[in-house]
Amino acid sequence: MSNYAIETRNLKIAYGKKEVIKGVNFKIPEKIVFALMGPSGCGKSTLLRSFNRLLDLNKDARVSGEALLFGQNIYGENVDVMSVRREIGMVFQYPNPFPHLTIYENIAIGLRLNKIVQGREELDSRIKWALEKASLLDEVEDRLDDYPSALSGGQKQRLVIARVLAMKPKVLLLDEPTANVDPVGTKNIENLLMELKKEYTIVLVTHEPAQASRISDYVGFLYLGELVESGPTARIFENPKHELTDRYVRGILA
Amino acid sequence: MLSFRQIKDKIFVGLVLAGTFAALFPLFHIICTVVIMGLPAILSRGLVFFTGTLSQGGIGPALYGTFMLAFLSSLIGLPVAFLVGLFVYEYPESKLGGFVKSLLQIMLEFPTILVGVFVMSIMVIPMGTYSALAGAFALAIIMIPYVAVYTAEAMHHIPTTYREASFSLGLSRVKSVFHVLVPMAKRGIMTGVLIAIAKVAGETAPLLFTAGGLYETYPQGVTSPVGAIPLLIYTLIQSPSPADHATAWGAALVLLLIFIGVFVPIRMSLKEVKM
Amino acid sequence: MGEILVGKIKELKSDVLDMGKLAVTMLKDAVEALKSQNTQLAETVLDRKTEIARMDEAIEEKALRMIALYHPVSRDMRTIAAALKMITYLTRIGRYAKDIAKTAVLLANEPHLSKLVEIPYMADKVVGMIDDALTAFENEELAPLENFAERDDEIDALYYSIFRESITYMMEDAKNITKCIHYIIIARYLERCGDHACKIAEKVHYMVTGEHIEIK
Repeated sequence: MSNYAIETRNLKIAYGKKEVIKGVNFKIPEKIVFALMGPSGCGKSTLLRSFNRLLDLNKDARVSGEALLFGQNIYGENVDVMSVRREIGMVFQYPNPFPHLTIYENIAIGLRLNKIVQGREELDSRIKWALEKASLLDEVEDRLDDYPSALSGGQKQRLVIARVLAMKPKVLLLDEPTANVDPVGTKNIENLLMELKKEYTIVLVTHEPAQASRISDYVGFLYLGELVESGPTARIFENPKHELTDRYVRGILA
Repeated sequence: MLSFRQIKDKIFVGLVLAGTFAALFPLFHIICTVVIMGLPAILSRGLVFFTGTLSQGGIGPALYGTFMLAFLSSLIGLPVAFLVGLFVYEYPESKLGGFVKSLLQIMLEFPTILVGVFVMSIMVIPMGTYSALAGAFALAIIMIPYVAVYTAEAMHHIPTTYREASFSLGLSRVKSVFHVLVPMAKRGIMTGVLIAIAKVAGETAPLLFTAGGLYETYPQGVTSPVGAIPLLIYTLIQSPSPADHATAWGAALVLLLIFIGVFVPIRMSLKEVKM
Repeated sequence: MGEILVGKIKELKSDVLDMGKLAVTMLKDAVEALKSQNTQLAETVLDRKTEIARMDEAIEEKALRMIALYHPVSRDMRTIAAALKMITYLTRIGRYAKDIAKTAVLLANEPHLSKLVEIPYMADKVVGMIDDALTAFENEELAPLENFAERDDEIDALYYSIFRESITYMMEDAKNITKCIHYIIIARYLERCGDHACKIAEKVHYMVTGEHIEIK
């Protein structure tokens, strides 16, 4: 068992002939917030999607090298992709609770279809637990049968987090989770992440260095498909070693 | 005093309105004519018009036949069409997927009478008789491209993010598609189904050589001939008798009502899904 | 936003450099007034003391506002942090210049002993260090700071040498005591100014490299 939740070894990703991730190596320790930052189009989202093999959905995507989840290469042979995805929850840039399902059903669907819980009672309690964990229970307890369209952007995003937590993953991947959320919702989600990192390893993609500096313990700076620099957040923001990182965090990278 | 710009503006608005009116006029004309001509026929004969045989002055067997054909063709066509639609959506880049997609486009435009001829050659001739089954089969073939294309389109309109969300919960492709995405596309798929049913309920050509026609008795079973309202109208209009013409107009009104009856309520009752 | 901050930082740096130049000329003029027994020059140094205090306040306010509004990070943050500390040291240097100028007025009427011992020489050395520290700040380079530790040692040695020499004069003749005690105090001020030059150098080093060092 490795001490690292996620570790990559010369991970390369290409769409057709275009290489978008050019061999990155990093190690993400357990139970921390790791922020992947970089300008738009630097490959952050692609890299994140490779960690739960969601990239498989894209027919053109080719992955080489290794991505290790607690020491196990998820691109190895005989890997059960679906169980990898259950262990690594993913939250998206656009808050995407299923619009045709109620708040309750949004969380229940993964549990039911994966046959994770038995019986109505266990299902009820798991859903309550997940909502509680996502700091959403108080706000929706009396309207579990409403549709998510009744929720604010921030609440929708926390519902998505609850949907993911219900599966009891080990790692949470978040792809710019506050990009479509107002400032209050953003603050709530950031507070929630600070709470969740006590139990989960969190990998956060953000295009906003300020967010990385607020909530992450470690940062990786990705630029044009390469990991320019990574390290403890305080160090990266006080004294980055690389000129590009310096210019990026200061907001003067053209 | 109007400025030149304002006049130009008014002329443009006028042209748009005139164009719209020109496009809608035939539609209103058809509806009005059918109601004006059909309503007296129905009112003068009363309930008998809906239940009686042709010699009693009614269109009962044809009405029954239309429902029967619509039901049977849906039974045959919808499941196939739905699966084909999903296949086209799920495997757009595969060779077979691309081929099926082009095939559906061709089927949409295919002359329907040729479908009738085809079904006649493979079913009516071997069975030795016109039958409800053959008619339904011909209608099902017409139905398939509509439902399949609408299904694929409706699925296609679901934002990728929901697909990703579903897969990232560790669901298999089959579970994602059938339990998450299809329910999301329900409205679009149902629209396709309704359009297809309305379309086949009004079809005449494919039934000419397949369903046969039956207007003096109610059909006995799926392997015996049936009538249908469009087919009946087609037959009656060729007759010189004014009474037959009146029946035809009444039947046309009934067909129109079926059309509206299928469309409006189900479309309204389908819950709007906000993305 | 980054570009806006870059402009503001440039402005801040030039403010700090202006303040630095003021502190340096105050120190130079105070020592010159002492040497040439020019009370008029000494008075101008006293007047300039309020100007340096005003600059201290204005720059601090500007820097704090930049932190509040632009959340500076990396080199920007380090530059602002360095500036905030530097203005304190420069204010102190200005205040020592004022104290030396005051003494110059007191000692204007009698000739100096032994050409003021080594005070002017020591003052040159100290001014040189402050100048170099400011140049390093201006150009964001480390080269001018290279042998600051040795230069500071030399300043300390000069201080003790002035101290011993003054004591000798005092033992020779009790009439020298007042003058010599003033010399010792002035040497002590200059030694402190040297220390401040070293502190400025440390901050500039942090600004350029991001690493904290101590110059001993």
